[in-house]
Amino acid sequence: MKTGIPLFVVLLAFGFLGLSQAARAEYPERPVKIIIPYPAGGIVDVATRIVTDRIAQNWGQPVLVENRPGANGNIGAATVKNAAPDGYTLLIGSTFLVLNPLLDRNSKVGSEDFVPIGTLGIPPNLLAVPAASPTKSLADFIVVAKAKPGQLNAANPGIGSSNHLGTEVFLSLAGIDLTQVNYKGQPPFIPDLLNGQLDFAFISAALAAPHIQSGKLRPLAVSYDKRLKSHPDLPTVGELGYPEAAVLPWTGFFAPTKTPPPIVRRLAAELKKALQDAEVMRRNDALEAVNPDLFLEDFAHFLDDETRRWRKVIAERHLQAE
Amino acid sequence: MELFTHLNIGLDAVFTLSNLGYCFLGVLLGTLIGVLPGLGPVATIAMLLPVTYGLPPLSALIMLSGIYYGAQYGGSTTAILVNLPGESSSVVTCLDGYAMARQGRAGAALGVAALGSFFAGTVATLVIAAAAAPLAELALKFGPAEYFSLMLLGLIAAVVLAQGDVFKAVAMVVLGLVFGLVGTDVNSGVERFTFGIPELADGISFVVLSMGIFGIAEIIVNLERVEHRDVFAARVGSLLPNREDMRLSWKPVLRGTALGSLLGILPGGGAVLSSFSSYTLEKRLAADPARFGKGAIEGVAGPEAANNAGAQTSFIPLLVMGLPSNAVMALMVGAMMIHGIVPGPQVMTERPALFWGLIVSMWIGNLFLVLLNMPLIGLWTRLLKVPYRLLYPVILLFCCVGVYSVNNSAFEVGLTLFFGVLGYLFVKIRCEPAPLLLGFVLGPMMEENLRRAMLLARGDISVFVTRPISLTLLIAAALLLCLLAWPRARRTRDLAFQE
Repeated sequence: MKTGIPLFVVLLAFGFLGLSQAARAEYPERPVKIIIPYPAGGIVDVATRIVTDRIAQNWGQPVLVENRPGANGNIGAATVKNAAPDGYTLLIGSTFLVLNPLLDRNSKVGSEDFVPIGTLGIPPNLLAVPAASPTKSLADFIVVAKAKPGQLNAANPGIGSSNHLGTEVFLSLAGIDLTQVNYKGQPPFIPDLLNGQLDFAFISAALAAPHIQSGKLRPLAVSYDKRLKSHPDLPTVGELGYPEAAVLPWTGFFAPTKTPPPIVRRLAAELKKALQDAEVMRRNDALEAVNPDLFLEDFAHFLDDETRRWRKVIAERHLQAE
Repeated sequence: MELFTHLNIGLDAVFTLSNLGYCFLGVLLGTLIGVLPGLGPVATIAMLLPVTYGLPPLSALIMLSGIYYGAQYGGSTTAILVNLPGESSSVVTCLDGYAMARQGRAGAALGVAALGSFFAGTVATLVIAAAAAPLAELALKFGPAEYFSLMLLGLIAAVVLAQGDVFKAVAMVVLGLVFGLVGTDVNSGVERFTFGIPELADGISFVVLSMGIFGIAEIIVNLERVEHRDVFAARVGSLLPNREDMRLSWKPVLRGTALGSLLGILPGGGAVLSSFSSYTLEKRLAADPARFGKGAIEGVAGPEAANNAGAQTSFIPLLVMGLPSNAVMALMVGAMMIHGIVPGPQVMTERPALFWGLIVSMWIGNLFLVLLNMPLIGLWTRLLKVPYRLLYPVILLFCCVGVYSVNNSAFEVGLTLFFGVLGYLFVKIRCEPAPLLLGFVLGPMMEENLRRAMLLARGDISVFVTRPISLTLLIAAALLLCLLAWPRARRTRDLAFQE
């Protein structure tokens, strides 16, 4: 009898150990919540759901996607920053994670609050002019813009957006001056671009596609380092001599800083797997999405590069609000 | 006839058991969320978006759009019965609809709202089918200058909305403008009046403001005077509008339908603007404008027709150009993109069954709505007999859930309570909240478009009179201002003579 008790305890202890190991191996044991800091139905929302649908199917476990829009991503990001770092609350982060701290000294959230997991497919921007514009190429456009400094109008869907930054870099490289007209996001400027009140825009390929097809909008270049599958004839900004004007609104999965590394690696592997799925690839193509395919350390290095890059541009172009 | 061929394609596509089922499900859901204060189509469609991924695209779109226009129907019910605008566009319906309910004519108000909406929905659907393409071109002609002039017209109309004191009305409009200023300035990216609170960086949401000032404030007022409520709840009266109601209503419905169909195609609150402007128009045309705000049936019929027509035609820019005209339409873009359909002019030619199917489904949905809502009127009016001590906690709960669901933000629930207290204060000092709401909606849009127009014109102010649409709108605004000043001057003089 005396030996029976320790044996029982030992067995029990092993049992618990086994259970807890099984539990850890079986992350996620409950639904994972992913916070999108943008409204439902937008490009980032659609791009995220393409992947989360697949991950949920692979896991046999629902992935809860929650939209927490506001303050240019800061509200959603702050929610995840303060969440338990257990891998059950993740953030869809984008360029704002790098840019908000650079543009706004009071910003309380930034890329350093998160561990990068991996990037998603996202549509790049196109440099486009209305169809009625006489310019047929980017070189044409630069000639016209040089002849009329400050007289042409460019759309700006938000301070610090990839569209805005791409425009600033392009203007600086090409040595031209356009008047930037501000809008709340991209959809509101599209009518003014189509009817010719605006002369130029960096516009998401997903939003531009129907208007290019109907002949109301003329794309001049892709703001990315590879050509688009849907527009194989359209040159990249790099091919035209402005490689730095490639500004992708990169978007990816992030976890709070203290999330255990095994879970972060597991999530990166799951994301990679989902992105290689044929259906995900088909839906990403339909969205004109491209993916720089950055995971873990590579993604982290990329974020450091981005911070340095934009700190310099913001200082040079005086983009910080007073 | 090309139109009939098209409608035939649509009918073929819609007349399957499942599509009709989704249409009914959509309008039923829409009616419910419309009736429940705070829960709006934006939150509902956002929540259902992932669910629709598994459906065929047409079924998904039929259901989602059913939710949207169903909510416009349902929104009027709460507005009339408990003075709570279930939807932003039913704010105006509160004014006379609730007054009618207090007089025991809730049934008539609900009936006119449903029939007027059905008529407007039918006409607007035909407008979409017949004239979507040219109307979308018109919407494209609206640049910043045109929007500014339209908003100016709207703001002047806001003063007409008010009962009584013009100075109080102007003060409320200005207060609305001030609340509208909160948020990030579009041009500079600088935050204004946000006090460092990140939740205020995108401004105060319309749902928060209207729910607080109308809904919560009304509850506080009602709790103060229970006995009054019991009086009007006891006699609900006839469930249907009588012949006299019909005689008074048919012209406002026609005018509302026309106004709504036109304003609905403009991006940015077309449906809201259409109901406000229809009310203003009816009040101007009425033989006795003093009846307005005290239960004039025209004040329910016109705006209800207008907001339903507007809700329907707001699909035009989306379907024809791929341009969303409001938050719900932006969600529809998302719904289409999830199915790999990029909304735009090519949808009509490449997927005619989808395009025409959706349009035909709108008419069928409207038919479902009127069949669903007419019998429900009896049920809704019986709600008035529910003791208020049981009713108000439920209303409060739904308000909170609804506000929370818009942005998943607890802060906004608190802000709603703040506006509730403010609204109560307005009741006490006899200030009408409707002009405040219009100032709040139009002010920021007006500022944005003014600055944009001036920037595009390089500071040349003549841009507002050299563009023909803008000039027309400004002339209309000037006329309205004259109309506003003239009878008031006369009335003041009359009063002076009496004394």
